[in-house]
Amino acid sequence: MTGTLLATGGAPRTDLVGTLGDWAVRITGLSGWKSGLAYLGAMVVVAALLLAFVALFAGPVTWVERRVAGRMQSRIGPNRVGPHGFLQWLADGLKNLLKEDLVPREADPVLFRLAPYFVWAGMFGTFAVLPFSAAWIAADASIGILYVMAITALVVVGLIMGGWASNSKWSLLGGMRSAAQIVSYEIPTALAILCPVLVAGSLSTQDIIRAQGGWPWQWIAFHDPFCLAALVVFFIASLAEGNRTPFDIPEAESELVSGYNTEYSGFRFLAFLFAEWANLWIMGAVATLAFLGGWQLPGVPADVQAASILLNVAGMAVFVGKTSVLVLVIIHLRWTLPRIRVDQMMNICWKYLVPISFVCLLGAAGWMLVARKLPRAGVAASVALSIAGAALVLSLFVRARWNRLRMGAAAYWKQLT
Amino acid sequence: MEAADIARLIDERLGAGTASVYEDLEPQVAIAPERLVEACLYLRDAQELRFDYMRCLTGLDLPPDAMAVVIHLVSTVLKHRLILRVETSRERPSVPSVEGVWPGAGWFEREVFDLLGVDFPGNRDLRRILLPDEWIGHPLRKDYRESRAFFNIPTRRAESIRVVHGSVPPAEEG
Amino acid sequence: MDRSILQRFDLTGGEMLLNMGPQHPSTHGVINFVIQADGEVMQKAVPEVGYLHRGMEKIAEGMTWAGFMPFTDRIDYLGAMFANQGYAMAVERLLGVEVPRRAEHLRVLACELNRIASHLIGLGSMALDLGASTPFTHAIREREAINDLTEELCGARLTYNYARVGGVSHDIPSGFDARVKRFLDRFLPFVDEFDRLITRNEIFVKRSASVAVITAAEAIAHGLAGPNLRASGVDWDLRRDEPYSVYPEMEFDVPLGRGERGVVGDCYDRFVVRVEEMRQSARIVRQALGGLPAGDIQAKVPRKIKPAPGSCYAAVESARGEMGFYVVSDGGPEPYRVKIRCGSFTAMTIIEHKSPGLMIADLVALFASLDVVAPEVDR
Repeated sequence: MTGTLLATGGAPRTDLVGTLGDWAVRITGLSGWKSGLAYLGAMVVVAALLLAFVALFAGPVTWVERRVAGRMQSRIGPNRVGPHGFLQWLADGLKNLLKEDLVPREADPVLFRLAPYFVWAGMFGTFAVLPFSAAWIAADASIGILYVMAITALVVVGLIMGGWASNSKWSLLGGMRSAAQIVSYEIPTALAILCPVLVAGSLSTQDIIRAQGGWPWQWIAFHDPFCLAALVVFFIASLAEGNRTPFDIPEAESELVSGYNTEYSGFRFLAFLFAEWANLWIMGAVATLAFLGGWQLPGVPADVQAASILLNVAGMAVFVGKTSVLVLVIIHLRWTLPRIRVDQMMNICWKYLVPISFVCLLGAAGWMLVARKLPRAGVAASVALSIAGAALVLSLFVRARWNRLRMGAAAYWKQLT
Repeated sequence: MEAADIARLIDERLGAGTASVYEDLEPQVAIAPERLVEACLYLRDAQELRFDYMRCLTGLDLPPDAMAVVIHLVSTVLKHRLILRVETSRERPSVPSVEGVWPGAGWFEREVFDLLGVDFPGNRDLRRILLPDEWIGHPLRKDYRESRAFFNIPTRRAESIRVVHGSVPPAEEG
Repeated sequence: MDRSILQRFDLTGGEMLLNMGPQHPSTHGVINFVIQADGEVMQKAVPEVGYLHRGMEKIAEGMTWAGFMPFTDRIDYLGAMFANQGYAMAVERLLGVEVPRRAEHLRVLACELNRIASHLIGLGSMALDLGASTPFTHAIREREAINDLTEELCGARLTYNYARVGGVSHDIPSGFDARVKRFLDRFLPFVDEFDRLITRNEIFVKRSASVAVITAAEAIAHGLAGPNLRASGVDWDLRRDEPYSVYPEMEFDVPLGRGERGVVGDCYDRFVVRVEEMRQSARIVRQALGGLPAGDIQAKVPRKIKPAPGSCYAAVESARGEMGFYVVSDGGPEPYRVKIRCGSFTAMTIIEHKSPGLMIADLVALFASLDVVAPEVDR
């Protein structure tokens, strides 16, 4: 079945490139090597769709971040351009596009211009295997998760290029710090993501989601305590991958002005920033698909979901919702926590996260062996874990409320006026 | 402890005539430049004095023929204070550096060198601190005149106020 | 950058020579650091100052004694009240004038409010430099209340020009003490919340505890002053040890660094000492306001001030340490010499001493914890 262009073996998969390509081949009647052109066209169309999505996410998420930051910091945030400042990102993007195209005189002419595109390609390439719903994924590769890990490594090349080619010592420092950080944190990310791969038995992103269910106790996160720990490790490591606080030393404003992208302006700078914001989606999406059940609706089997458009839309809403919650958590973390120093960050990675993720991997494997013998105990453990997880989240809200009451916040704010 | 007592202690330790009292609102102990470092070491280390904290070191231009360096000391242990005064000539002012006694004095001496032109032999890094290296002259001197230009930027303007409309009311008396 | 600073370095090894500043988000003011670094670890960091030198001491020799007061605001714009008071005290001692008790209480009140405001900025900036931007905005929000109070009191939010030779310029308006009490009532819960947000944040502690430890002996030898000195364990506070104004009547504690999360004298101690000082200042403000005596706010001082020839050194405990004024009079209407001694000046000298082996990120932490304000260094 040609709908599986990138898939080799395993269960039949459907993805957008495949279905679009099949349809194109059918109506144009191409055959032989020329049918490959139809699939190429399909890829271009799907890539354009993804680009639209990524752009429409990366822009507004800056608005969300700035408003959330304002709310946390007792100020308003952008509120002039558009209703509640919603079009601020459009204005900023336009401004960057209209700027003078500056290349420092001593900068390496080729590498300086190439660097943003490497970073951007490393980010955008992952969208090929990120699912949005049961039937809506650009390319359901059988090596999905592995491909994500691999293509994000392209970002490192771009960062080092940008830092070195800028011909500025501060950019160089920032580039080196960034490269060290991303390369180191690939390890715990990959190890942590191996736990869901183990539980699901496949590297493909859709398969991993299909191995889960809609209800929380059917999620891989609550499958066993080792997978829950793996979720935490993965979340922390992907914060470091994305250069988000507390791991934003490469862009530490108070130390290096802006690290590797100090000398960039205009469209190239926009490309770097675009990649960084879009990375938020990737962080949230991979955690959602691997640990939090992806697009699975509670009580609806995956095949039924794939067949119906309405359920597909519902599944996408669920997926987007879960990812958005994670993105909001990342945003709140940025404006709360200070920055970790470079050597401390390396310590955390190599001395803590890597051993913990190894233990998680072994523990998850051992748990699966045991749970196979005692299926009911496995389900009971999952239910208990999901209740514990919910209780933890609830307790955070309760504690925040208690802090507010203890401080007499209501009276406090009344006094300010 | 009073300045007179401290002067006497210094004399007992380092020889008669090393220290004298300079009368002022708060009496100061005057020491000759060549005995300064030994006196400061004694002031810092003696059990009954323990002046461990040098709080300020400043220079005074006393035309026509003297310059003074005034050192303010305090003892965080015994909670008393002292002002030292070292007088030197005005053509070639030179006072030994006390950076070896109190490391914090280094920058204070640089400032006195920068603004008054006093040399501090023994200071490890005696160069201008507040003014650019290319500055000519020492501004806090009473006979300082600013150069006419600094890197071709003129330091005077022909007329500082130009009346464009109306007239300037006459200056008030008193 | 002046070329002469290069002679402080040994350039044969091929290590990177970096300029941090003079315009840099994290040097508090215009200060340059020339850093010789091997990657992230520094061999030496030499500060270079003088970008903000305005020749204040020379200007003083051309102004009248009373006319120099607004200039003292600009020495350290975050601690303008202290400079006002210090200069006024020095001139008053030369003149032999006694300040009325009401004016002294008002001076203490204004100074302690200024100390809180200055520490809020210092603490917020340190958090900001280490990556947490939210505590800074919260601190600024609280400082707005103090700005409003001082605007009521003397008409200015930053450069107060409040003290005069012989007293203060304005009396408190009606309703002022109610507003100050309202501010104090909500200030202490705010400091607790600030503690929960940043002072006890594990990442912040990791960035600042045991970093750039300054021992008591080093602090005294280099002439550090104020919270920096006390964080190293040295129990020296001018308000208590060289008392001036009405501080002998006030009850307050002097917080010392205890090394509770690291070593005594690390950056964390300098932060915690300032937080504690804010609480103590709130105490003093309450006492100053509560015991405000009736009377004049200005003593009788001749219209043209001409102190008898002589010199005098008066120091106040400013937010950044000891702010001392050594004034020399030759009997004329203008000062013969005014020397301003500031806490930040000596804080700069210790940076070069501490820098070998420190990381660049630690230099940022050290510099922020010393709460240096550049105009004070350069005058």
